[in-house]
Amino acid sequence: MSTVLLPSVPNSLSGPLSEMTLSEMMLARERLLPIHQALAPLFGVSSDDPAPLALTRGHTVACVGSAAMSCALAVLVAPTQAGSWAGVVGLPSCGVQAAADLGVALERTVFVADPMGGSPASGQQTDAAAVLSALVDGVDVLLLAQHVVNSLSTSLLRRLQTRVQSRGGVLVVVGETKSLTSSLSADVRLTATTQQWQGVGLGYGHLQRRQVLLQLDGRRRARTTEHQVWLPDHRGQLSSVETVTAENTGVVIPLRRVG
Amino acid sequence: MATVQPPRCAVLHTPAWPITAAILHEPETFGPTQPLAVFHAQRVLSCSPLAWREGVRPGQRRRQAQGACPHLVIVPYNSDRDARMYEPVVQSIGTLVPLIDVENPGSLLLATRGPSRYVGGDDALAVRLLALAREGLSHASHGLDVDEVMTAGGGLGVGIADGRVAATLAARSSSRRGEPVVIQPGMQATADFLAPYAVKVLTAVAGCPPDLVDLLERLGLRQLGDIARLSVTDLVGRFGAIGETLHRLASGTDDTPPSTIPPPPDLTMARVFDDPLSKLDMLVFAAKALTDELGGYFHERGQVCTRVQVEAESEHGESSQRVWYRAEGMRSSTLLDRVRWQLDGWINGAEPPTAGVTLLRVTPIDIRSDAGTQVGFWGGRSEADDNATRAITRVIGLLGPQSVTVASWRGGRDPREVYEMMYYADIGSADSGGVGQQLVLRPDDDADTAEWPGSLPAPAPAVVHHEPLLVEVIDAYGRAVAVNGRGLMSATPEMLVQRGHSYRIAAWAGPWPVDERWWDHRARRAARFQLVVEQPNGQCAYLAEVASGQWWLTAEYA
Repeated sequence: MSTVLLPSVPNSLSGPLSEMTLSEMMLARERLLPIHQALAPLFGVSSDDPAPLALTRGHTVACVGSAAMSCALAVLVAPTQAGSWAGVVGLPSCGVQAAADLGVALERTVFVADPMGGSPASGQQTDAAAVLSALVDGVDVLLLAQHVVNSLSTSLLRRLQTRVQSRGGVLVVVGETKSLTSSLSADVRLTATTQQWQGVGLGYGHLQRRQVLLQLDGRRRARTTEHQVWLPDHRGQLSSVETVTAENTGVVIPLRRVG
Repeated sequence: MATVQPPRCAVLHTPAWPITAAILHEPETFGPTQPLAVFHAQRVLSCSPLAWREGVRPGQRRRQAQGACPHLVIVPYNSDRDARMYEPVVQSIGTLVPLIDVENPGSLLLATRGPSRYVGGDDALAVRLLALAREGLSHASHGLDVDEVMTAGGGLGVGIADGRVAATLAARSSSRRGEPVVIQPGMQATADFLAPYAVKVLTAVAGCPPDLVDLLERLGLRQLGDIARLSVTDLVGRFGAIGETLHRLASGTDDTPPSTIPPPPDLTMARVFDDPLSKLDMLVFAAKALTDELGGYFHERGQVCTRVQVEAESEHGESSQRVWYRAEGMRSSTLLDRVRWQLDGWINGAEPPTAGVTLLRVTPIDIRSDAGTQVGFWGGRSEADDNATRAITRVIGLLGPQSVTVASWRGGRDPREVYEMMYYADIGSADSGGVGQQLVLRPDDDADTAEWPGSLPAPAPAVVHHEPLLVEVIDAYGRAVAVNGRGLMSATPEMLVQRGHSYRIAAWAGPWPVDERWWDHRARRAARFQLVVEQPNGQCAYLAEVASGQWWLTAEYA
């Protein structure tokens, strides 16, 4: 039997999907993932393309601040509606109803248990690496809890980010505070700060909507952009805060049956 | 017009087989002396002779049936049970005739040419078939009186005649008379036998549409003989192609042969380990040989298995049984995945076996021909779906079947209950563009289902604590705020104390009392609040619950 010479197999980290890496030939717009309309003003408009810039594939987005969870879910809305899959890792407390109200396509969203199982043992690290790299290969948006990121070793995190870049996904990390681990270098940081909750008084009403200040800064960004949004608004969705006019300075809260 | 002599057939018929099956399956619940009726979709599917005597009829509504017979025992419909309990009968007949056409549980058909010559005539064959069926039933009856069971199922009839229709009608009349009915061969004898039957029987026996039968009756053609007397040309002129079929059915020249496809071989694959295996990887290795063999069998025949039962048994007799389903079909590798998931869940699960595994058995249940999977051009299944399915399968392989969940809308008052998390491995995978095929993703637009009375208005909390956090809520004097049974608060809440820190409550709303399931042991009484709390990093809104004097944070509007 004759020996068959196989073509040289690429490095195992690049995996069986290596042919799907972002090529130089790709159009600039194809390197972007869609973003919710209300988030678009943060990303600005590029000089040669009238379409607003959006999430760049391969980037790591850190969502921090007091409204981080809602903000991260808002990032999932447009990509999942456009046919991408999303994986939510290590966030059993994620509010599924809130995600559905925001517009996340739940038929393309899977919830994965914490691959570390809460114990940062060395044996678990390899498992976590295999799980996360499998997910990166399969889904476009990977939402990671902060504690999952913090329990990964620096080298593993670096490898994960490289793989996300070569595969063209987006990594979204949800942090409660601004104290994300230093080994994670986020390309884009979205800070969501609660300005005020509306609709509830001293013993009456119910939560209606929340004004959130979104700030976007990043490594390759000259300045921080800001945008005021309702996150969530009275229907549980994301919408921009219009410039203050006489009619919406005073918020009229319709009476609703609550119980 | 040239007519073809129809093949001579024998039919074995039990009019109310679902009743017999239920008695055989659960003899302690359903006795042969009770009036029984099987209901499907709120209507009587079949009833025992006792119930019939009281006025219960198939097709009645439940209320009508119970009105006619107040002590009627209702048997839930279960087609699996019917088929399973019929198996001994089929096997018993199979010792005499190898090729049997089971039309549905309770009725089987066979070609008599060979068997009849073997046992010495049609009459001898009919007697022999009855004896064999009784023998099969007595195997399954666990000491019950076979005659009693058979009477409760409306008797057992054997009919032998030319053609499927005549034989079936002969078997029906035989079950009423209690003796075999053999119609002499020959077209004239068959036609004479059929002639007095009402046209209505064609619906039950030959699957004629009821509205066609209705039309025939209104035209004055009430008996099969009336149709047979008409000329085929007239019937075709009036009814089209079906007129010709009608004439054939009515005159007994139906030449549809009994389908005599050999029964599939027993595909159960089992391995018995003389040395009990307790390591998962060794078991999976052993299972691989099993699933490869099965996969090879399917591959040779161009088939896939869509439903499979996997069983494992330990040395101490503990066992794990599960049926796996995959709409796209399973071949060796996907079969092995299922076996591994199940064994992993059993051995590393909450109730692991106390000894090594000695038996592993894989039984294909549903097999279909492999039609392949067509990738849609636009819409349908996309490349992203395929990639995601592969990735999820890999993760399930690494972390176990319970690690990947998807959300399905269920409804409820509590934010924890509105969406149910279901295991991806149980649902199967993306058939077309997402896992949504088998899930309810959004409530219907129908306001009744979308708005649960007592549910919280939008927006929904973005973080839901499955283990609520214990906190304290105090008033201006530092006393705990309480809510009494009538939903009145003891004081205005001022501060929230969480892990030793106290935060000012800027706004609050409530209490909204929750009094759920007061009728059983899952009863829950609580009062819900929405609290807006001033924390160092800004305002935070919580959903809080007071139950038995304690405050819990159940969700956060993060």
